[in-house]
Amino acid sequence: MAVVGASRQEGSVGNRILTNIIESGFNGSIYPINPKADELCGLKCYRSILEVEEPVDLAVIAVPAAIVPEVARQAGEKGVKGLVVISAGFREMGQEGAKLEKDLLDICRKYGMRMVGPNCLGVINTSVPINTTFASSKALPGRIAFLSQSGALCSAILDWAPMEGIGFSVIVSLGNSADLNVIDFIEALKDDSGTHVIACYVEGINEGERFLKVAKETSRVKPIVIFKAGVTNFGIRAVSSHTGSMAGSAVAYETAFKEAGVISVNSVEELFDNAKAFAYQPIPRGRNVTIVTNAGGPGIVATDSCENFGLSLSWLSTETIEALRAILPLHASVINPVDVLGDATAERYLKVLQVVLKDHGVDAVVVILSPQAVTEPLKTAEAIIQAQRENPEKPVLAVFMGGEGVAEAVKLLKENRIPVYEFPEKAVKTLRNMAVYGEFISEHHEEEIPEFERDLTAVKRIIERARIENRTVLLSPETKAIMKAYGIMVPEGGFAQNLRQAITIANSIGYPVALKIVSPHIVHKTDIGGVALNIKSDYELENAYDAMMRNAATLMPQARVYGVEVQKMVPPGKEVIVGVHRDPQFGPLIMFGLGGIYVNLIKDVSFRLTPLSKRKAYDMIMETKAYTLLRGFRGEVPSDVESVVDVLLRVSRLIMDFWEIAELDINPLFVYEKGKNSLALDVKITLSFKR
Amino acid sequence: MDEGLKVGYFKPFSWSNVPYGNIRTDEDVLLMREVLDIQEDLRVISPVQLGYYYLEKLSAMDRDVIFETIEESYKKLAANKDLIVVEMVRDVFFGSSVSLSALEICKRLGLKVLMVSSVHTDAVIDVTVAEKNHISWMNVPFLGLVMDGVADADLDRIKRVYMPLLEKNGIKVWGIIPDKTEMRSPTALEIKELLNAEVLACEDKLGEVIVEKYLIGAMTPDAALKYFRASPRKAVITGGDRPDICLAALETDTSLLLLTGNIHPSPVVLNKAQERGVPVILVPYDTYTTVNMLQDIAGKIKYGDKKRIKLAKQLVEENVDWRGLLKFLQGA
Repeated sequence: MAVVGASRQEGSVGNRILTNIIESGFNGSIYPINPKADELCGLKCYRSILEVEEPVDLAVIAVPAAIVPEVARQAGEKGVKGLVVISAGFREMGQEGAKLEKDLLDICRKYGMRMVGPNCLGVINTSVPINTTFASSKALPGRIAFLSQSGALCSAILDWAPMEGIGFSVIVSLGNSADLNVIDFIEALKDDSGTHVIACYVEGINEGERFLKVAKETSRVKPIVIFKAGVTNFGIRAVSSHTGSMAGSAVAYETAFKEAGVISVNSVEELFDNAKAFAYQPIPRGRNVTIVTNAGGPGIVATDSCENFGLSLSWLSTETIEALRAILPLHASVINPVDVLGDATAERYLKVLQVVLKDHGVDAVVVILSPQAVTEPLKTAEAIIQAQRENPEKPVLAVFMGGEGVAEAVKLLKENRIPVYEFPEKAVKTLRNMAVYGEFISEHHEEEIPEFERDLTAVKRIIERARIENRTVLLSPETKAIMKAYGIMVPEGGFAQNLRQAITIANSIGYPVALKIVSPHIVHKTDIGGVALNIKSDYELENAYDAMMRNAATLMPQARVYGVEVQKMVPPGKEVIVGVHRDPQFGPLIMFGLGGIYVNLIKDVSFRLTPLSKRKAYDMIMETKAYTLLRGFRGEVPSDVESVVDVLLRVSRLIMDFWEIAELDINPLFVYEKGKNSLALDVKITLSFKR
Repeated sequence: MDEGLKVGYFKPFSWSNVPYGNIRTDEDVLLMREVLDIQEDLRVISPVQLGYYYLEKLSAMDRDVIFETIEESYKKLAANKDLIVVEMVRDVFFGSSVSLSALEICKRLGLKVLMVSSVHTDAVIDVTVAEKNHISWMNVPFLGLVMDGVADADLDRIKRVYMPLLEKNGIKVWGIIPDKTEMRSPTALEIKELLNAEVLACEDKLGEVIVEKYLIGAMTPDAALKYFRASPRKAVITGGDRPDICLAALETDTSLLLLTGNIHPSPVVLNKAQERGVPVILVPYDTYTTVNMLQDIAGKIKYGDKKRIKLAKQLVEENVDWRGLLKFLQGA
């Protein structure tokens, strides 16, 4: 491997990289490249990569940005396969830098080289071993792969991890990700036997759909834990100016992570709380947790956390309870949480752990220790290690509360791969994530995406007309026609250009009818009196029509009125919403929720990414309170939930058929009694003609 | 001109005075002078300059002197022409109170009247018929009507209701010119010039894109995309400190990113704009001031605006039976 920009000057990036590579124990050949030196760190130095006689596989580049493309070109000529470009001064610096980055990428493509960076800290692989970073701290070998879109965070973690006893298989500082990005590394690490968990710090993901696919496949093999930063309004602003990529909405990321089985965490601390547990502990088979504690208070805190995070306390079997009675003093609690009392010795801990871990109703154990008069922290740690070794199929997480008194014991636990936490909440939260992951891998995910009869041509025609007229917001008659083309029921009615036509339609569908103004320039129809309900006769229709035209002419004189929509009045149903928002990163995001005027207040909504399967559609309905309402609340007749599932599936099909549809809202969808279907009352569709 | 005719242009009263060299004149005059390649002095093409309170000036002058000035200029222009296009101000009644209405000028110079009007309400039709009746009563020859700026949505009503009525009242319609946003919306370049803005990205695209709508980007990033998608060909007005809004705008059909408050955006935002081909301009004013300044911009064809001149010619060619009109004019 070549180090271009290697240097003698201590403290320089080029020097640091070269010494790191040498010190990492890399056993291949190292070729320092520097036109001003003959020898560096005892290695022969070359003026250019082209002068190296042997073949070169990898080049680490740390020269000023302006000459990086030329160095890359030489590497390409030399037949180098991979580049790690440390140099900064590319896209992050402005338009000239962006051009330079593009040139660099073009050179990589031309020669078939793959590149990490530019503007990154480098790459570490502890099994090769190799360390191409310029960080001053060394990584311990371990099972965690850490991918980071922040180089600075990488150096901080590198410095912090040894103290915590956390080791790594791979560390990649992704830099600008001009070529290789976080998805490429997740994909590659899937088959890396040294990596048991992939931990990522992510600010943005650019190929959302590919991420979803790769993450889904990888999650089946090993867990991925992601800390996505920049989710608040100001956070999004900060990410935007840092990465320059349109942040997908926080809810899109959340949904994507959930669907891909990714464990999503909210802090760097949590990222490693989880990573260290996933790296060394088995995945629990279920959500039943047993708490073993020598202190009442912390035991209650852990118990509350279990319920708060959706875990249950295991019901111990009669045999277990009997066995515990035999081990523990009379006044100890033998039901969960198991209180081994303040005077518990290491031996008592060991016996209790051995018993509870054998119980089939126990999926995981949290052991809590608080240093009290006769407590033996170090010996207890040994007991935990022993108990876990005897029962390697169940995860054991330790909570050793305290400071100096438990420091030695904590160190021992870490060395022996028992995740240990300062407080119960962190352990329980981690365990919850492990249980959710366990459920993800045990579920069967490949599901059929239902197909429907549909009139593609009709929809195409409507979209084409809007494109020609340069409209992005479709008119109500058009959205209704699209619903019909996809077999979604709408109230009877039609579009009229004048009063005469309106009367004809009203008579053919029968009174009472509703009248709505149709104009591309009037968005909030009700605000200008553009909606009239419950019209019962020709005479009332004429009055309503005149009033509507007058209102439009006075209140919005510049608006072009196309005509009116005449719609049959329908009986009220349960109001729900079905919406679609095309996320710039993850594609169509389908929303379901409770409708009506309080929708923005109550925010009872759930999301899924397309395509929807029948099961996904059911799941998203069942996640909401609206489901309770549809099922029949307090003796009400149940509503037609199947028809809502059907609408969701058809909307999913529609949105996948037409990339031009950027937003869609059915609000409200009236749901009637079971077997009586549902009706899309008002449908809004916004198009986007930019791919 | 395409038919080999020598065509002239005359506008007796010039309007909406704009400075040009050391005199003030009418934008239409400058435009037509360019289009028809007229050599005569501006003061000959448009001898009487008027402003908003025009009656003050007209009533103070001797009517006969005004008439003579107009006639003299007209004769000079007409001397070597086959056809003269005379443009009046507003309608046939302009100047009636000082006995200098368009019809009186037509009578004096022996002109024929062609009305050009946008038609979007019933009232316009009534007024058009009334004007036509007035023209007949004054014994001025009447050629007919050309409808301009007609929206698609009005076409059905025009054909079904208005056309039969106009025909019944003896008004020949020579053409219906559709409304084209390109004709009335400003280009990004015009906005840049009006605001005297600094260009940060895609300077070469400024003249190519038109702005149909202005949206102010002050919402949360989640909401932005939804609003921006609903408005194609827009200018998004926001601050350089809102990269989230800028990126959302770049994700949708945006003609111009107008940054206020003199805050330079992050370089990555400019990279993205460059990539997407969306011009970015920067002004020192706050959003409120910027929007107020934009009130004055109306996309009107100005002299030198080759694109709109070309489009206007094309629209007339496609939608007006000008050859028929010419034949009618020559025969009458």
